[in-house]
Amino acid sequence: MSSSSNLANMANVRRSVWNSRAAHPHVVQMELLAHQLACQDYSVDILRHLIDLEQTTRPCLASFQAQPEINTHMRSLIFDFAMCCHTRLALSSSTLFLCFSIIDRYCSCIVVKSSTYQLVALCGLWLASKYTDKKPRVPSLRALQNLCCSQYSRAQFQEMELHILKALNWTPCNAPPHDAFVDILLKNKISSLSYRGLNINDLKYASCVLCELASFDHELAFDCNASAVALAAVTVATHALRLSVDGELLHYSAMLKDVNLQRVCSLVLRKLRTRNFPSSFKLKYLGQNPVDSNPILKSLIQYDLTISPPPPPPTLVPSGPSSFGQGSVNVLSPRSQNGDSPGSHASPVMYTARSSNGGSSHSFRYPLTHVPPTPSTPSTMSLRNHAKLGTYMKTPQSSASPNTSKPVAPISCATKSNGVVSSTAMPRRSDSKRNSAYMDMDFFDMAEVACKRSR
Amino acid sequence: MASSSQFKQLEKLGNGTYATVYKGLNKTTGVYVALKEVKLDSEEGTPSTAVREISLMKELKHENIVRLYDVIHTENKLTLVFEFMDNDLKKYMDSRIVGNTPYGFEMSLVKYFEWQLLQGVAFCHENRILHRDLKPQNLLINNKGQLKLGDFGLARAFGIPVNTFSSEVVTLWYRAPDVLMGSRTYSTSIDIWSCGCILAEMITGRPLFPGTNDEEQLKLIFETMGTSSERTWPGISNLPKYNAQQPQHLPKDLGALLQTQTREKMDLALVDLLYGLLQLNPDRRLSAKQALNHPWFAEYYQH
Repeated sequence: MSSSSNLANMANVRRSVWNSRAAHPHVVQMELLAHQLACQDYSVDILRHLIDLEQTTRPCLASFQAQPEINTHMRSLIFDFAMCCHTRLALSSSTLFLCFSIIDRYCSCIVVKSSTYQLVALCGLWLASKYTDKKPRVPSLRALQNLCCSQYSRAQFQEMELHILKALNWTPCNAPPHDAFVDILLKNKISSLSYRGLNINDLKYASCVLCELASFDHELAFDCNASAVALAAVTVATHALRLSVDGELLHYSAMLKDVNLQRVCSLVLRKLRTRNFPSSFKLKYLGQNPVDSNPILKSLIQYDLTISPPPPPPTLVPSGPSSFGQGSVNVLSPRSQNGDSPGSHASPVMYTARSSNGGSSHSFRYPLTHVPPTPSTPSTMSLRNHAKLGTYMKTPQSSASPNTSKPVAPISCATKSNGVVSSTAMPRRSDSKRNSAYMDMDFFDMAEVACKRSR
Repeated sequence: MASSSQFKQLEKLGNGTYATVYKGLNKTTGVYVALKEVKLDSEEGTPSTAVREISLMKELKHENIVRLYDVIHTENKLTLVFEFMDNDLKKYMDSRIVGNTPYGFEMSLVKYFEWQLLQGVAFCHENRILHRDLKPQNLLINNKGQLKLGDFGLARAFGIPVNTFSSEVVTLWYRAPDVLMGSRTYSTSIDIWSCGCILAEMITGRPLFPGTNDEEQLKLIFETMGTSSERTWPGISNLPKYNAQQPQHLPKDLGALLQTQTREKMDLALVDLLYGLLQLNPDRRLSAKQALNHPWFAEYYQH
């Protein structure tokens, strides 16, 4: 007995020594190179295959909109919840995209009650993790139950997992995740001139940030393929990093002939511009710090502020950006008002310009003071933001969106101090007793994930 | 959607990595199938191996990969309905042992099997899937001489920069030296090493490197293929289990070695292909696509 435990102990020591050696940067780099070499033969085939797969795994907006109990607002809350869980469990980035895809596809074919939406999300995360992550990383049923305060029983989890598998014809995990496309795009273009001098890890990080943000936008998630979003994200990320690395400013549309891609780029940037980041997003990338603290996020925002967003897609190709002064750009563009980051000092001016835009009729529905601070926002920061007039103004949906009868309400979250849900932000249909979609506060206290850099 | 009542369960065919496999009869069509039963765990729900195997095999439709027809959920188990194959390569090789002496296959059959094996592997890799457990037991054959890859219980999809995977994959005898030495970000080359081992085994009827543990496995590989150094495999000394003190070996003549164990003629092209598949350095190993274009297979691709 003692000898067997001794053996187990020795095996543990051996394993940990081995693990630490295997994590040696030389080894990792060598292996990565070997893998890229091995993939060289296949990257075209793989890309083609992923694009085929993507066609068969699209969610359907019309079906989602026909859902009697859930809507796009609840969707953003649920996605926020899923992303918090994902960050807290430290799962791989593909898992998150896959989870989002599973949730949307399930909701495209099965009527989901508002009270089970969260269960769908957790089971989506579970399945995605089983498919993508290494076994020891896959969350246990107990961990999943804890994430929702045991709101659902073990049996409910298992039932839902199987139901998702069946509803999606046993292939819930076949949707290619955004980051797979980002990887392939970056790898294939790494030699091209536009990447010169840029750090590929930064590019990947920035692209994934944009893809994650884009996933929260139902228009982008339902209308655009993951590959299109990934391509737009890589494009924008490249230009943004180029701007902050050597001050070279280029409007993304200057290099893009494809009007559709321009549209996706502008939608992605619009999502960034609202600055109404999901709280999970702040948790992951900012922790307790202001937006400026994350250099990549700062670069992206700077870039967005510097260029002129083209008017709602896709009729006009904007002229070259080089001639634009910042102030004039912003006045013309009601949707670019945001900015507690440096470089956006002109933003208060934009108030007057707002009404001139037809698409912004809802812009004053929410008084500024009702924008709830997110849990990860320190109170000092929210005070500062409120002092800056208009910085957290809710922006309207683009007029191009087919379903903008109401603007997406700000993500409602309880604050750390009072623990109540800001009721103004509750959507009408989800007003039922259930508020499990809102994250409980311990959740954030326990999460130790701050700005994670993929280095 | 199929239901379980549609199938009559016949004899047990074996135990997979995480399930039991039975022969089954489709009562409506009269077609034999293989029924793989997976227990649903009350702790982990659907096992991740099943999630992967089902997802991947539903996606992989190729004549050299066993087809997954359907999945049936009953009570606390899943039944995966696979195409039925008469035999597997392991049993088929065993059936050729006379007395205590194993015999390999005729060279034409070796070539046909290896060709099909590489076709299946190439298709997996093109679809960004690593099998990770290629061995004769998992290569299923039928009476028409077709060979198909089965048991994707350890398979997974890979990205183009990959994550690190578990090191406990591939049955020891078919495990690549880079994996044995602790590499965890292995790639498509891991399946290719197995293809090389299987090719040699089909020729002689015996496993090429029948080690009993990691150390012995590496020793057997190095004794035959020669030891590697930084010169022939840059970076090898960084691998976790690299042992600089090990006795140095020069590579043996693989062709001559195998020739002593078979009555078939080992031609030069075959030996060259073996060396291409069994390169110690994973960077130098052929890809499945390249192997299919090897001159040894000329008679297949020239038609």
